[in-house]
Amino acid sequence: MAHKKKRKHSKLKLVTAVFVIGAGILVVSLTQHSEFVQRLTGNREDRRVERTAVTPRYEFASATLQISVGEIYNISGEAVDLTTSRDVSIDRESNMAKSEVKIERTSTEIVPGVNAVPFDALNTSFTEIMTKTSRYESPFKPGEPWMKHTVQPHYYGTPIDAHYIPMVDDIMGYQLRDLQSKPMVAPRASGFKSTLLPDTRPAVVGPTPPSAVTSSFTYQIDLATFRRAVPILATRIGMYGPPLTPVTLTLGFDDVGLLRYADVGMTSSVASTLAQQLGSKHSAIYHYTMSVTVISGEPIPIDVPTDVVDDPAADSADLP
Amino acid sequence: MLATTAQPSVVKPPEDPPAPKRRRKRLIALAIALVILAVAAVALRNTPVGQRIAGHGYDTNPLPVHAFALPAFAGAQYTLTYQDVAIDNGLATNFWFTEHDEIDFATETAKATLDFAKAPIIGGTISTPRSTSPSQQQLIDERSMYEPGATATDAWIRTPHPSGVWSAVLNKSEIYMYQDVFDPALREQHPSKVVHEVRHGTALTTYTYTFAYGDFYESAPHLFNLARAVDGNAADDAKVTATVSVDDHWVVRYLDVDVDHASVLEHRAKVDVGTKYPYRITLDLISITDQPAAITIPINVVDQQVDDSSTTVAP
Repeated sequence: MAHKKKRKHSKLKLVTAVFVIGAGILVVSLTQHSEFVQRLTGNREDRRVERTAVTPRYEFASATLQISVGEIYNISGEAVDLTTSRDVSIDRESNMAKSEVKIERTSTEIVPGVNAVPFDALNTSFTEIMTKTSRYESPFKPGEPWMKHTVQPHYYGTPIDAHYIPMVDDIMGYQLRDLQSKPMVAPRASGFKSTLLPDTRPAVVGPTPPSAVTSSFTYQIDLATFRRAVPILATRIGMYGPPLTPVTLTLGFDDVGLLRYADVGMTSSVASTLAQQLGSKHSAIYHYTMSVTVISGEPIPIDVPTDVVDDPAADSADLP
Repeated sequence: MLATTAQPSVVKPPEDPPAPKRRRKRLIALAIALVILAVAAVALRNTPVGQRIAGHGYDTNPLPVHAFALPAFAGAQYTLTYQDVAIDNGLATNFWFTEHDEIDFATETAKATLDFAKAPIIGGTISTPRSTSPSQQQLIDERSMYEPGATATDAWIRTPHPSGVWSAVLNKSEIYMYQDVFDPALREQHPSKVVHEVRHGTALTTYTYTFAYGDFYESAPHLFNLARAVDGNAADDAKVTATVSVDDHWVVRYLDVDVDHASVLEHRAKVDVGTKYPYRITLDLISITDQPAAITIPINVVDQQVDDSSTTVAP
């Protein structure tokens, strides 16, 4: 009798256990996609408010930058590799920018077919001052007046645009956030170690990342992905080539979220081919570096030249 | 002497405490457990696990915070429309340029139909557009662009294009995904309207945003970059309306950026008579398909010489 009762009891226990397990499975399957369960299982960590909040824009009065552009020029069919360096001062209060521009031969010549041809005809250095209405260019010969060009009010991508130094959220869109990156290679005593591909030469005197950079990201992507994932930088740089061209991108931000360093490079042979295809007097960019060396709350005085000659042809203010 | 009988000693089994006593013990244990639970909840409430359980610290915006992969498709059909305003022969005029593209990505061929139209703006209202020239057709492959000759019997004119420069239409770069339009700043904006609708047979969710022109970049940097042709063309207080429709796969099926044309007219067109100023850009993705219609590249062609006398240094 007692044995029978015990068997009945264990049978009841088994049924209860099966019922509880079944109910558990049902509950899990019904609630697995619910917000609560997703949070509990850690699948909503990218939705944390502190990660989705947009970094507030940082206001500043002035900035100084160094920009270096490596570019293959097609001069009458000859491929010439030049690096344009700009030391840019931006004064946000007066909406003016001053650039000291130097054009130099790129120091190393490693691409077959890029010949060393003289470029004496090129002006190797000049000063450019940009206001909301005019662009002034320093004389190429001593004693001559500055040239004054009228500019159209399309400032996007130029140093007098209010957003020329982008914030982290302008650059780090959702696609770039999802891409794999690694921190920037640390500067060495002998200088910044280029993050470019092995067959890409460094710029003549490439700007180095400023010490203000507190977070950095290096990506190995293709040109099509670069154009899609970092559209603001891609538009500004204007780097073209076949979509699958490998590109190395390094970005550095400071602790307030300003872009303080950007380095984009692809192999110069792609630019050389493109410059040849485009024809004489065309060029193609293969390397761009920007380093924002100073962000300041104090304005930088920029003097507009007075001894000027008007250029009747307006330009579009499309500065590199 | 009386014989005494030894009584066997009886060991009583321990008795259960009376029921009320047992219940009291259980209640105390339960109370202690509850107190421990409450203390743990208070102590852990700000930890990641505590916040996960409580649901605090999470963004409730329904728009995603990650990118979506472009779905696989072999062909697409879409229309790109650009609208400008200008003072034309003394009249405020609206100009349309429409490009209808049919693309076969597998064979890397495309057919583009270009239409030009204009209409006067009377009393602030844009009149019905009228074509300014017959439709133009272009065929595009990886190497060249082809245009019909002067008559139907003439050979097509082939213009080679540098690789990587003019092939945007062939590499899906004009098919946008959610993340191409929505950046963290736009996601944070409150849409003025959210509508579920069907367009070209596809169920869509349409988000409409309005901002002042002066706030356009800061409200939607990536969208501003896409519509940068409107830069500098309106007063800071001009109204910008941005409309984005996405399908279930987060493909952008419709995108429209519309700056108040009246402001562009006053701010730019009336100051610089005769010049066209862009104010509206519209992308209407009609279809994406696995089986695109075949595009035949003509064989009877003559080559157009590329003019390389330009002094422009950027491609």
